Amino acid sequence: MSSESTLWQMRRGEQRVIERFTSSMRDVYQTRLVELGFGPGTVVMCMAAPSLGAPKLYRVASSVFSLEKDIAVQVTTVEHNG
Amino acid sequence: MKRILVVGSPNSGKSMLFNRLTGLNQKVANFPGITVNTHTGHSRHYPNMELVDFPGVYSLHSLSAEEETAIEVFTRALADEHPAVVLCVVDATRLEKGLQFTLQVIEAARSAGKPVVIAANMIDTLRKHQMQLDAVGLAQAIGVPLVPLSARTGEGIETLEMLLLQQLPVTEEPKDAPIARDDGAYRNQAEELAQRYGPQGDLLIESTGRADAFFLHSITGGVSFFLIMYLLFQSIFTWATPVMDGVEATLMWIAGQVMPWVGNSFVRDFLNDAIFGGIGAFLVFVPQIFMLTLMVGVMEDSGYLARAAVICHRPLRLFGLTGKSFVPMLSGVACAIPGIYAARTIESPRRRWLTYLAVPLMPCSARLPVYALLISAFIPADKVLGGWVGLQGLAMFMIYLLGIMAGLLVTALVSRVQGEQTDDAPFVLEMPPYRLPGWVPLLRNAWDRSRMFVYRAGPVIFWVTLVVWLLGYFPNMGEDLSASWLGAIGLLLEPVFSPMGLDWKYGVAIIASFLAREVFVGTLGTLFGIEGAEDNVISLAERVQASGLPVGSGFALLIFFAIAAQCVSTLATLRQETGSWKLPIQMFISYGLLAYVAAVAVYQLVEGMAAL
Repeated sequence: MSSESTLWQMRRGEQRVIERFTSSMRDVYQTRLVELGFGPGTVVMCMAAPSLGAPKLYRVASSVFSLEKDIAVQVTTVEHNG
Repeated sequence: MKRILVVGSPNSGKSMLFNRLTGLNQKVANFPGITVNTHTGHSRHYPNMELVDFPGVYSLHSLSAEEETAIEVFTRALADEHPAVVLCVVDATRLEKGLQFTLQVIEAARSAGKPVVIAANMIDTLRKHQMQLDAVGLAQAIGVPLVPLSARTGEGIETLEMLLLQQLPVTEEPKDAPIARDDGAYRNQAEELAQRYGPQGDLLIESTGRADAFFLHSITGGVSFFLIMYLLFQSIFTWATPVMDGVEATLMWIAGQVMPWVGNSFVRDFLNDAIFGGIGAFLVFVPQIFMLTLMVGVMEDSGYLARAAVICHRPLRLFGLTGKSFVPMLSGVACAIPGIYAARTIESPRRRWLTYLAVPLMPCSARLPVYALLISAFIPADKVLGGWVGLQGLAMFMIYLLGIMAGLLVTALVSRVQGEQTDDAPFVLEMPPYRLPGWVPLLRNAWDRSRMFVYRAGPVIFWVTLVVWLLGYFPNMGEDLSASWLGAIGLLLEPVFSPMGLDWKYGVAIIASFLAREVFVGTLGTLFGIEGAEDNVISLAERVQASGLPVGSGFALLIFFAIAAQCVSTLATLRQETGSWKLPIQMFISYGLLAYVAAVAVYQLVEGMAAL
């Protein structure tokens, strides 16, 4: 069974697959994340993880987005095999 | 008249394409969400073609106030019975994201009976990275005409124009593709299409990743951020100075040519004091406004601005703001009005409101002439650290920093008083790719901004200067300024400004500058012109020095102008954006009082220390 962790826990260069959003995340933000490409089943790569709690950069398909901790901790990911 | 509705995701190059088609100079930048209003223009080759540029949105479901307005306006335009074609712009380097929105647009346009054309932009970037787009295959798969093009180089523009001129059919429902009805289906279809027909390879992302590793690194990122900001402010003084000297020399030359031909002493005094002394003193500072706009534009266009927003996010959160507040605040450094508009991209209403509080405190370009005058008068033009650091540039950096800190402290205080709220929209920002700035549009934008600044402030300065000059010239024909009508008014006001060590002339200039800050320089130039009564035009800074203004008063003036909300246009824009006069009035009174108290305190402190 794949070990789960949040998007925020990813390190630079790491790839994982988005599993689900936490139930506490508002619907409107879930919809927006899906529209931006962060839908369940998507492979996501951490492009930059600046220190001091700055938002991290994540790549989905050919786009890069920065997400702050408050929202990245609400996205559960699993290991990427392949 | 054929109407073309230009839509697309943020930063898809939509406004650049609009400019290319219309020949207009709509502001473009390499940062998501720069277009905040719709703009209309006619095709420069086909005048019967009208183009409407809509703000970029990620989807037809709104998240922020800005998106809600944009979607509403677009939906209304779709429903309009006027014949129209929807031109959907996608960034070919990030196809799946653009296609997801495009599929929504095709569905909406089909329901409204409007045809759609897709412009696959940035084809030059794809070629540069040896990547390809199967335009024919993609167009067939979605059943919509598609033109690969580059808004930047002009490639494919003619093909697009020819296509838009044709009578296009409304898009039919695709036979061999699933009918996308919900978000998940749109996303899946967009991904499939992008994988099948879009560019393959990671060259673009890899090069962006390497640059991000440097600019977002804990050490190199922080150092480069401060260096870039410092360069921005140094350039205002260092690089603009030769042009400023040129403007001043030209004005002096014109004055020298004109004055001997004017026989009438009244007209002669008016030209010398009000036109060359007043309006001329203001024009000298326009090159600095040009330089400031150009440098901010370079940051935007290179893609660095989005990284700066990421760097600033955590520090700004301490003050109740968000990384997205950085863009309105930096825009506010050029002018508070676009800064206030730019705050629409902040989804959280509370953080947007807090950003409104900060933006008018940013050191805008209207403050620049005042700062430049006072710094020139009080700070020597020496260089230190082996000639790398100019003292005047350093002083300018410090006063800019003061304005920024004042904005942050106000928002920190207000957000602490209000308390945290849990339903704030989170920070999610798309990172545009890095690219070399396009110098021609940047120079044109800086030129337009400077011209607009002169056109907007010019008439106000002219009328205020005229009134001030008439009041100062009569009834004794400029013989004794203190015995003039203006002198009488100024002496009444003097008790208000004397705690800052200012005489009545500075008081009059401050009162006049409540219309617009830059009026201060023109008014002061006129007053000194009348008092000086000489024909030759000398620099205003020299006249301020000669007036014996104490150093403490110079600092007090700098503080006063850094804080007070002296701009009618900014207050009117705030009223428009918030829908009420409450915030502008509160801001005018509270920032005015704060500015006065701080200025008096600084004067007393500096002069007290000097007396020791």
